[in-house]
Amino acid sequence: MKKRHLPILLMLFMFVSNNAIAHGIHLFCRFEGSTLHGEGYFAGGNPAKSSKVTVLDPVTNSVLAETLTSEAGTFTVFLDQSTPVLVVLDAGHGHRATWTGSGTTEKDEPAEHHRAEAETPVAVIATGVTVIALFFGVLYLWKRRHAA
Amino acid sequence: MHISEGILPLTTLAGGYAASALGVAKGLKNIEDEQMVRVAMLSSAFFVASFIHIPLGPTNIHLVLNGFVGLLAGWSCFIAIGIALLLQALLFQFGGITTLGINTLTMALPAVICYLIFFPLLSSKKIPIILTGFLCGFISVFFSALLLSFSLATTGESFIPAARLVFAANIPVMLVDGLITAMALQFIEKVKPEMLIS
Repeated sequence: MKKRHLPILLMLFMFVSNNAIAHGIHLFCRFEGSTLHGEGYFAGGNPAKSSKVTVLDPVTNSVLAETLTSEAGTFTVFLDQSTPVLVVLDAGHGHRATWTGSGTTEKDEPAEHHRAEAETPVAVIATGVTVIALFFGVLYLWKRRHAA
Repeated sequence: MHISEGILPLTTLAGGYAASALGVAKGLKNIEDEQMVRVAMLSSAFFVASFIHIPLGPTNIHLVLNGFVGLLAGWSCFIAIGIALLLQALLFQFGGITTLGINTLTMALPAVICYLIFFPLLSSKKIPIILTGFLCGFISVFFSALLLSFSLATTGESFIPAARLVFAANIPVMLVDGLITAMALQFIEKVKPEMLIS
């Protein structure tokens, strides 16, 4: 490996480790009807106990609900709206995690939305396969250039 | 069979990246110009296989095909699987960037082991191709599930039940992957048998 590549590699590794330590809290949420269930935990797997949970309207930024996580790091919030929400988990000392989602039920969604959702993965899969082809094309050219 | 971000300790993640980097380097050294298209096709097959879900009881499972990729790509499977997992992480949020190294190792190392065990058997035709294919598919997923469970167990005692559950949940995948690999190899033997000769 050429020496001039070393600083770039070091910078990449620093970026990866910073992510793991400084933002080492995770938030998972899911809707069951109009009830929002969530769970927060730290990078080591320990639950985010008694942490503040705030549910906001992402458009107006108004607070819809507030609660605290249990000893297991879980929480439940009852919401009477189906518009998207922004959930913020604050475990103190700068440990924050956010989640955005919607509790919209299937009957509320237009048929076009479902069609678009069904079509998107195929387009993304095709993109992935194209990137793989391009990657190996570049690899082929690189190998040829170094062999010459 | 992807490990998500934020679960494993930094040492396991770093170890995964280091071991995968060695595998990728070996793959880059070994890959020949005429193998490039084959490895690209296998990488695409591995990438797409994760989206083929098979209903099984109350849940559904998806194909892995790492044994099949390893058998036909050899050490280059580290490149094929690595790039496919990177795209799955970027495009579909399966796994993650910090876990890319350990996920690549979990999938590609058993694939290489299967290549070293089964490719000589395949070339010599000492055992029927359908049996070779089944064992290759089964054992590769078996070792992948074992490595995955071991990685989770390194996180702490609280993850040991999850590690056991992950291994048990992958037993049907081992059987299905074995069957699909056996059928795929039988098909290749009919249409392009030179692919199965070293």
